[in-house]
Amino acid sequence: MSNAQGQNFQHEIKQYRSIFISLIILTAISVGIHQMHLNLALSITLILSIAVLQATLSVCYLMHLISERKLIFLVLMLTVFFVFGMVTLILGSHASHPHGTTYVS
Amino acid sequence: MDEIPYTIKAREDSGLYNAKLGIWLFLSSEVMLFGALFSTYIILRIGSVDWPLGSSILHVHLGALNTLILISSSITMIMAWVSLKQKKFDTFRLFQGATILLTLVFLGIKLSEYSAKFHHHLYPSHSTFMAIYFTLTGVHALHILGGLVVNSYNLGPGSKMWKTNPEQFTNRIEISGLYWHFVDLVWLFLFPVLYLT
Repeated sequence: MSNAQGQNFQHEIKQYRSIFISLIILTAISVGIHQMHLNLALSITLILSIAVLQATLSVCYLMHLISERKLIFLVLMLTVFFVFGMVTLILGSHASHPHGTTYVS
Repeated sequence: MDEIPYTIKAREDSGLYNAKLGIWLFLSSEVMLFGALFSTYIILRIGSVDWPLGSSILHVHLGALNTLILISSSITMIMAWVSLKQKKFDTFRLFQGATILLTLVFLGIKLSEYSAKFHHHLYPSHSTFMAIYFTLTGVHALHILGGLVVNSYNLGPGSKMWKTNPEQFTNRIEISGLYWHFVDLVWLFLFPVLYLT
């Protein structure tokens, strides 16, 4: 392996180290938010937003999606469409009930 | 010719070697699986009269520790691949071994959590929360186990391929790594959903 390629991976190794530290810090922030005992809705929103950020970092840099071929994006967009559809249908079924009736937990 | 094509060379139409497109398609199906399970969690939670705070039943610090362990294993996994790209096979073995070790620690902690729950008679049948907790973490743990088997094979008998076809072996590690990062990603959602909210 040439020196140039070794240097190339040095940049990537530094990137992975940064991602590792970022993920650890974000996990600590999530636990910190939980321990603040905020309003439940606010707590859920903040914690899940952090989870989405962690997932984005992991997918973009550890799974190399940021530099991947467009075909992979197409596959993933199709998946997102179907997952979104599935979640919408499932939650919609919860809201759906016969006319004149109400949902009782 | 008996050789399977495009194990190293990218296809002209997709620009990817076959296994890479294959693993992303497989991961898409896994997204559907876990998406369905998370949707189940949502519908059970919003439909319930009373839903416990995860931290009142589960050990947040153990969950956080498991999160750190899986994040670390993701990094050692990608470093194993980088080592092969740098033609450093011994370093690859070190990082792959570390990934396997971290996986075993994760599973050990998960097992101890399950044992503690059973000791306190908190079985899946105890409540809806426990049912979905065991289902989500159980399915995830099975995925971890599957990854452990593959990673162990790649470190063990599978590593003979390094001598005969180093590029294909490197690609195998890349594919295994993609699966592993996905499994880690699922836990990055499982931990906050079950333990912190």
